[in-house]
Amino acid sequence: MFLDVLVTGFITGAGYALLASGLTLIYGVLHIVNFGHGIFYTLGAYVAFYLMTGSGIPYPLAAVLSLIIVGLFSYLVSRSMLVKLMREPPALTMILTWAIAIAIEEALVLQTSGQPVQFSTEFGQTPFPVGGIVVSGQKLITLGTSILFTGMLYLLMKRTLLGKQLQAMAQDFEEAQLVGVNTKKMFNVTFALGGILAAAAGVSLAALGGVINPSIGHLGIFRAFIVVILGGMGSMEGALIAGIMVGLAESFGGVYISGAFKAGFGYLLVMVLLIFRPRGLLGEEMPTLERER
Amino acid sequence: MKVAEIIKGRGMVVGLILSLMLPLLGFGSLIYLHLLILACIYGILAFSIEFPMTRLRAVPFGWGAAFGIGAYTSALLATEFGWPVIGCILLGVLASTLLGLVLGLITMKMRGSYFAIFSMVLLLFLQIVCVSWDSVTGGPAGVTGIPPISIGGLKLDTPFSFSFAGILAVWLVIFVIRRLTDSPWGRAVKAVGRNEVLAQSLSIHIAPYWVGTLSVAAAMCGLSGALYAHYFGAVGPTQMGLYYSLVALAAVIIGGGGTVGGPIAGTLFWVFVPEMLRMSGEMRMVIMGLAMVACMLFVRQGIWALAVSGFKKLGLTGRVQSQA
Repeated sequence: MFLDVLVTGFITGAGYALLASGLTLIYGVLHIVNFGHGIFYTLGAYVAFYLMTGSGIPYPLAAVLSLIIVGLFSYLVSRSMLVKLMREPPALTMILTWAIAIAIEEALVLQTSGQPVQFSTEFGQTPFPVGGIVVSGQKLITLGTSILFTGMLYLLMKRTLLGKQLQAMAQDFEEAQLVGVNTKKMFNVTFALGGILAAAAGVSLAALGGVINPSIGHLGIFRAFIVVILGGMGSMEGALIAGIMVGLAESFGGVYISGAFKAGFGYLLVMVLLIFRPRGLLGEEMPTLERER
Repeated sequence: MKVAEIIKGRGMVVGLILSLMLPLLGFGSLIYLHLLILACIYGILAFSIEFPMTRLRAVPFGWGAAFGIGAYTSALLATEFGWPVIGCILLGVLASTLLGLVLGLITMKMRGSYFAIFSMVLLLFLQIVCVSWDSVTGGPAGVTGIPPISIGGLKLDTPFSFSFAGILAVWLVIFVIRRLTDSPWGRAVKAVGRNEVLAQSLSIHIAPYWVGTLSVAAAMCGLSGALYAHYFGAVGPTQMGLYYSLVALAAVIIGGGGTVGGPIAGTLFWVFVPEMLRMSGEMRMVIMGLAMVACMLFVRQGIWALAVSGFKKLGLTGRVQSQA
């Protein structure tokens, strides 16, 4: 039983870490909190769902296609709307992302008539005995996806030119422009990457519950915020560690403490953290004044 | 700007009298009165968030918390203890002022993103408290059977009578905002919002203005919440939710901040447009979201300022240009 709780917590935590990594990437590079991040998570799940049920595309292919579609979509959203506010105070962009997300989410509700739909696969349902416990296929998928994408993100950031450009932007936006980084394009690329990561989480983690509805983005985004703040805004490693911590805490808390107030502890933790150590575990020192860009 | 000039002094009285006649325009149409009241409640909500947003450049995503505290406090006091409703409303306002005070004190070092996130998490936390603290807050079902406002023996339990209270409340808020804005206090707040470092170099301490603004704004928001409670008769965890933050933000973004007309225009847009087009709840949100996006991209100053500048360009100010 204990092992089961541990593994579940670890795997869900890995999923949260994946979702949070997109959020922290966008913040680290662009200094914008993407309040609409949850909608990419939701879309990741729904696009895959529609591909599977509408066109009979098998899950793995549908998942990959979903990532591409959502990534493109977030790129377009950024390019058409968000980048126009690049020079404005980040607060405006934050509200904008929120507004866009709400519009899309409500449109989804209209589309689905508010009914949750079943999002699962045969493989996902098959139990796999591992060690002393039984793990569902979907959990393995979630774990695998998380490891895969986190690894890819790491490689991207550390080993590619693109990654170096993003790092440069994260360190100093203006300086990056001075050394020739096309910040406008990179702005959109960052959102695209964030979208892909969120969609990856949506495709894998969302299916754990078996059913999805348009508001799963909300639950996802709240957890993602907790993870990002705990791990430090802008820190990938922090997001990973914090994600697993949150996953474990939730898993154990849900079983051994339980109660509707469970999530309340998470929020309390975040508030205390923001007051006393806003940078989180591994984040950089936060400026107290708003950055002008 | 025409309305701004109306609000001051004698113009304000004129405006007050004119708007008090608004409920009569409905010819007893319940829907009209209901919408009018909604516009009043959301209008106050919009003004309450406009205050910190434009002066201090602080965007509290969790503003629904002040609304919810005002609503719940007033509701609970009225139903549990049976105190006079006016008193309950005042205490509700006081409670949300306290919230604003505490929030201001805690967030003094937080700016921008952190402030936004913190307020949102606070709101979510309070929402969970409302849901799980059954014994006090009534849990998911919330508080029902909230008595209407009664002054002396007069009960404001019909939309017609309540609308007057609503309008008066809106004018009270407008009055407070105007007086504060045009005072030395208000100018200091503006300085803090524009450039904190510069303000400090001019011997303006950030603390009292930050905390003060948030407290006053929270007080207004609490009033809005309390009015909601005593009009609808029931409040639940939904009233301590993101929806009201959204309404407030949308009204200010769409209508425009920094003026008296802006939040009003935004609120009217929110309240009347979906009704006129007969939209369902979800469609309404889609349109609101899109309207917000459109305004942020194209009409940054809000539709009110847009309309005013449009009128000016057409030479329709209605005011004789006086010599300097």
